[in-house]
Amino acid sequence: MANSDIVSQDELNALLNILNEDNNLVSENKSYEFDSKPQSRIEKFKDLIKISNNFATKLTTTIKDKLDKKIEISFNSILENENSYQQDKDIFKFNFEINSFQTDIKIFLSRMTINSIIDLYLGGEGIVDYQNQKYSKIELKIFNHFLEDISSELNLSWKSIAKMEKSNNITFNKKFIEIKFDIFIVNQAKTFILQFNYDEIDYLLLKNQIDEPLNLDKIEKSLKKFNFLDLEMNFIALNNFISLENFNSLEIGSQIKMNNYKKDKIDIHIGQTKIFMAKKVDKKIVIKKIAEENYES
Amino acid sequence: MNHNLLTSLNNINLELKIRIGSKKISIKNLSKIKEGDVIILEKDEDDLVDILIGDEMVARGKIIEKDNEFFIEIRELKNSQEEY
Repeated sequence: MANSDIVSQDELNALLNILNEDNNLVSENKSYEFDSKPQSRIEKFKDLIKISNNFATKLTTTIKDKLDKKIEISFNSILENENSYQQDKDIFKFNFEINSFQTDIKIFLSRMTINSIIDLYLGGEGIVDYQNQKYSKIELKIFNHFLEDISSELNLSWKSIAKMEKSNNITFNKKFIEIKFDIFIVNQAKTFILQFNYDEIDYLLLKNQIDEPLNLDKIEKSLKKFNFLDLEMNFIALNNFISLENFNSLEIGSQIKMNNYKKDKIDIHIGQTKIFMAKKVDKKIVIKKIAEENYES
Repeated sequence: MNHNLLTSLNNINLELKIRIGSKKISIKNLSKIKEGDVIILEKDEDDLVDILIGDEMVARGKIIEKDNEFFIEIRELKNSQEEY
């Protein structure tokens, strides 16, 4: 690595000051709405992906002038598939797992890429042909400086979802550096986060349903072909779960406690799919809302 | 059947839904439904309601309210042997 061991502390401080002045990360303060209403879950997924892509774009912008690298967003656990990560040795990967209010986000940085960045900062050409070397103090300071930029941008990008702590949890593996940030989900996002499902996101991404909205005209046309078809709407008032054992012991006169729904709130189902939410007033069922989450069915 | 499997199956939770009524509707009319529209329920308040597991009606009963909690009291049990 170019001159990495012969830079004085003064020279390093001067270098870091220049880096601070050159910092071209763009801070975007757009706020995303993660309250349970009125957005649909698919809109929230879109926002989550926008937030993640926004962060990736910022980081890509940061290193674009230095290295020709692109940051990838992964919704899957890289650790589960470490081999596939190693094949992509020259990219950044950003991976998050959220399944509780206090959890963590992990960023995986390629050793090769970081080494190149450090080399460039130290006046080299950014070309390194090795990955697994021990960093000198100066190199570590440059890495930490870069890490602070990442933390700051991650905080900004994710502020509508989570607050995160400065990371002291950094693991240097043979081919990549894993940085773990502890995060605390903010109140407005809690409802959404509890429903978070990676398989669902992957499925939607695979099906391109996030970026390519449903073709409503096409659906409408195909529905017209079946205008004559009669469907049965079921008005569901209450529900609960019962074990097979308890069900088998039911007899005339048995009473089953139902859930806490108010009796006048009605879900209108066709088959297993909830189509409308409604309210019962005497013998009238008044349509209140079209159910949002039919795609789950 | 395996004893352990039977014991496990016995603990499976089934979703029980109470159907207070139903109505046939064409796709044409369904696609026109909007917020505020009213559908008239053909059942009376005192009529028995259907108890469903999945799409299958397994019993009929009466909704009872006690201390702001709702119960369903079984009045008719569908005898599975009737079907076969």
